[in-house]
Amino acid sequence: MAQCAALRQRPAGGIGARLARRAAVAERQGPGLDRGWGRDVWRGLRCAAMVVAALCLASAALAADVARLDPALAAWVSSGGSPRGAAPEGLQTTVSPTGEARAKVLATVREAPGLTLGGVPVSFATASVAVVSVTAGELAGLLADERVTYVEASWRASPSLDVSVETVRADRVHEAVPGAQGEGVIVGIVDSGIDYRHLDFRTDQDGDGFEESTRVLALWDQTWGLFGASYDRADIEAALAEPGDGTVKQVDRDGHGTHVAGIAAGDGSSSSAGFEGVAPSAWIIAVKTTFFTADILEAVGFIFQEAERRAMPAVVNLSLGGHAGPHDGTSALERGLEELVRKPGRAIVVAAGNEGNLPIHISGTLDRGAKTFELQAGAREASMELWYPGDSTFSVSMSSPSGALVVAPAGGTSGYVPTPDGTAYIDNASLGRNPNNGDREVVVRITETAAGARWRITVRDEGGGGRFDGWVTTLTGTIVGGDAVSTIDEPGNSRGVVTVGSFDSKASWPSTAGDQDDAGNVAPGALSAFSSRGPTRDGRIKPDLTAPGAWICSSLSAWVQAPADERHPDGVHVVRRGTSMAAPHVTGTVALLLELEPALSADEIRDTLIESARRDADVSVGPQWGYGKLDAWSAAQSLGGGGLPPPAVRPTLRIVDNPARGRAQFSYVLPPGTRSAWLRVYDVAGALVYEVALRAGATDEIWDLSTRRGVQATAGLYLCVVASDRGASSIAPLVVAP
Amino acid sequence: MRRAGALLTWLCAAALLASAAPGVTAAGGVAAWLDFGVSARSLGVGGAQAAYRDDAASASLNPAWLAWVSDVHLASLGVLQFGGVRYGAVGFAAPHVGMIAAMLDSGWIPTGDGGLRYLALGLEAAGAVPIGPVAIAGRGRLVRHGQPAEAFGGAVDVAALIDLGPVCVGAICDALWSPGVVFGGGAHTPWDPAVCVGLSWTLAWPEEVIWIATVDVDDLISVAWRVVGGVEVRFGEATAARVGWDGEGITLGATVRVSEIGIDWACAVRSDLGTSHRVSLEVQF
Repeated sequence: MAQCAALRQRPAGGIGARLARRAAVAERQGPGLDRGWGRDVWRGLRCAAMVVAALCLASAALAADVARLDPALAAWVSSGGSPRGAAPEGLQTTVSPTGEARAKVLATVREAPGLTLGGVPVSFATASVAVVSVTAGELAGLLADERVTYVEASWRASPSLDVSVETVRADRVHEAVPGAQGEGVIVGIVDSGIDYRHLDFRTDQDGDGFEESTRVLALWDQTWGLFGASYDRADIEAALAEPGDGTVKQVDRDGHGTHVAGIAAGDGSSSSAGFEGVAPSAWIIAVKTTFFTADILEAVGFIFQEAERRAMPAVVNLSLGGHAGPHDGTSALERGLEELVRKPGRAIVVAAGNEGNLPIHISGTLDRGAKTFELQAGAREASMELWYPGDSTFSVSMSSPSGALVVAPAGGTSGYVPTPDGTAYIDNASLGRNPNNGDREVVVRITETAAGARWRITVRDEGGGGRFDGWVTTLTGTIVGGDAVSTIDEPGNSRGVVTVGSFDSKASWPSTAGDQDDAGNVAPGALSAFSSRGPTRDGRIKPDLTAPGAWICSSLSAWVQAPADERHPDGVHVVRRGTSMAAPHVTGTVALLLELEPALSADEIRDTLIESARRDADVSVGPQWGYGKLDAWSAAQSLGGGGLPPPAVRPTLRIVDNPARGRAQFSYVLPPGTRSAWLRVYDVAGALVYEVALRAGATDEIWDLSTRRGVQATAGLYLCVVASDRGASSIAPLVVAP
Repeated sequence: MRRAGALLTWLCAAALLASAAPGVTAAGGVAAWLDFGVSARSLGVGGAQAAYRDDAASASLNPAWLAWVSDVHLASLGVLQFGGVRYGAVGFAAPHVGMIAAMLDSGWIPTGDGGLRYLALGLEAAGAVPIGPVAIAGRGRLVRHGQPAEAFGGAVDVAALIDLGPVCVGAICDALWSPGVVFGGGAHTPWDPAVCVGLSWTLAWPEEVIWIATVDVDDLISVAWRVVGGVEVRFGEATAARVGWDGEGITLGATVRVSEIGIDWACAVRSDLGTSHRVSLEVQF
């Protein structure tokens, strides 16, 4: 009862009150004359469910000063759980055949969830983050589950928008003997898709000069239908063999994903002009994503699962992001990504963002005072988020261009307030503190306003004091009096990822419209003006390092009509710029490192990249440059303490051609100081079939399939291992074909 | 007894003759994995199986034991072999007849062009008759490779046992006749003969504890022949422990039996390959 009383005392714009009002309005309307009795009953039940959900949600919020629900989701519930909710960036919602709207959310949990959470099926989960799809009614059930600590909205991120391979010295890693080109490593691309027909991603396996095969091992199109569509390598090769698209319907109409994939893992075989990527022999798994955060997390999980199934290391590139979130690495997406790279042989690389020259950030330190700034809408709507310490009490108010005042006291909301200049909404941590970081989140939203309209926002300390940070979360809109500090895109603030800024590497290029020159804006070697800056809100240096991001020539999707001044004369490559282009340089480099040392951990990879980064005269270590410029050659060398290949703790063994026909070829690396080593081949029962002492200094061995009995090995499965006085390699299964 | 000895002699001679035929190219055996059978027990004694009695697995050990099986046995075996290779089998043994179906799966093998998988199925069917203290048996084996290439093959084996009280002598001639394994494109790999002879000795000491020592000479007709063997100790009907040498390393095994249900475990230890484990379940009717 105490909770119910408290609910009645909440501000008029509170969720419970609004939902109750909605139910009352629905009741007053009575049976719709043109809608039929059944639908009205259905609507009544839905309204009742909304009221119950709101009561539960509000009760949960009031029971303790810790929020368990993202304000964006609370706004969605209060709007009636419609498919086009009132969240700032638009929630990820779908409508079932029965007309129910479902929102995809990320739930932070205390323990690994099972198949269901709060009675709702879990579609994907890491150790502490689960992705579920709920109706507004089911949201209450989800929050009632004791394992759930917080439910976060899935919001839409955006794609972050020759000579660069030489600039980062990846070509030296390719050409070293032995070197690395990403062989045996999976490069995952979560982006706008991939033009799998592009020759940069194809190979000629039968040696006839035609690239009939593909390096794309798997392709998941999340945007296809209700559940997406996935294709394997056989599907893609079947599609390549046909004049049409066959069963593979995925296309990259944006071209962003194809360009990114070309930088990381294109082999440049489509053109005599070159444009080889950083890891030209790597395998590719691409996900055409919806760009909603829940789907991004699922996409990364999919790539690592596919890699694990194939026992291959993998690095995933995320050239995407946005500014909804706390910018301290504690969002559900960032925690989920951090948990996905806890196994060896996994890494995630994220673009820092392209807001390094946009005033979309505001901060202030208050001590019984106030700070005022203006949010200028870039289009008909604008949104922003502010975060302040959980122990403080800040009020937030907003005045429209004509002077209409909208106020949200600490712990309350303004509700949707119509003004002559548009509709305004402020949620000032109405559900309490965010349990993931203990801070309070303010959501500001303006709709139906005029582009360019300035709304004055005042943040006032009512007690406790401290620093607040705010970011514009819509694609357009700026802060008058704001800055570009701490503009690293989410999820680039995650502790588990490598975050990449951009430096300029090329100012001129040939195009179908003639030679182009951008020397006025681009200075090779200098930090790109657009490259988002750190630090994170909790003070860590991000980006971790920078890589070439302007201008970069890479693969052009055949589905894109590129501007003539950006299209290379070969017709299959295009120049683009952005940290989206910088990140895949690092992704490709990580693939090279993982070829040399497949069991590297994400922390070891980040440390290697940071320690080997080039700090030339342009570089100033800090929140703009990170720890320097990417240097693939130094990174590869530093793995081995000064030379390739890196020393391994134990021998490594790789079978060059599997299945083997007529002979088997092995490639191996022995740890430094190895005195004796043998290649041993066992049959599947564990009986020794063949043994040979390995030569010092060599790295290859041929077995002619003759056995120690002096006869040929029969077709079948064999187990190969390099044994030495420094230990044995992992077992490499070998299939002998007839 | 003289007739039985003559039979065994004839069997060994036939096997030697067959194996001396030109074109012998065996190594490792095209279906060596079929010897995993359907029970974990024999691995515990080093894989010495020619004269080792395990009724449920008779069809794969020495099928001549089927001549003296008195009940119906159902069994299943799961193997986690070196290198992550998996093997599973189900089978039965009844008086005079037995059958086993098995599958070998390498799991995903990463390769330079993505990966491959080795998947094979096997079927063994055997029958045996007793002639006094001697038992003789015939066995047919079929293998089908599903991946990475389709293939089909088979072999006919013969086996014999002589029961001399506490001592038992056995012999098996694998692939006495075989067309080999034929692959989809017409390629062919032979399934060559292999002879194994073994001896077991059973001793009760003290009265409630049964000791069984068993030894085989595997691949007798090859220059790479090897001796394997082990000792089993049975403590009444409920438990047993085993230790053996399989020619490459030490093997261990144990059995726990409750009423008509027995669970067996065994492992083989290799310095280079690690440890492989087998677990089997047997139900006797």
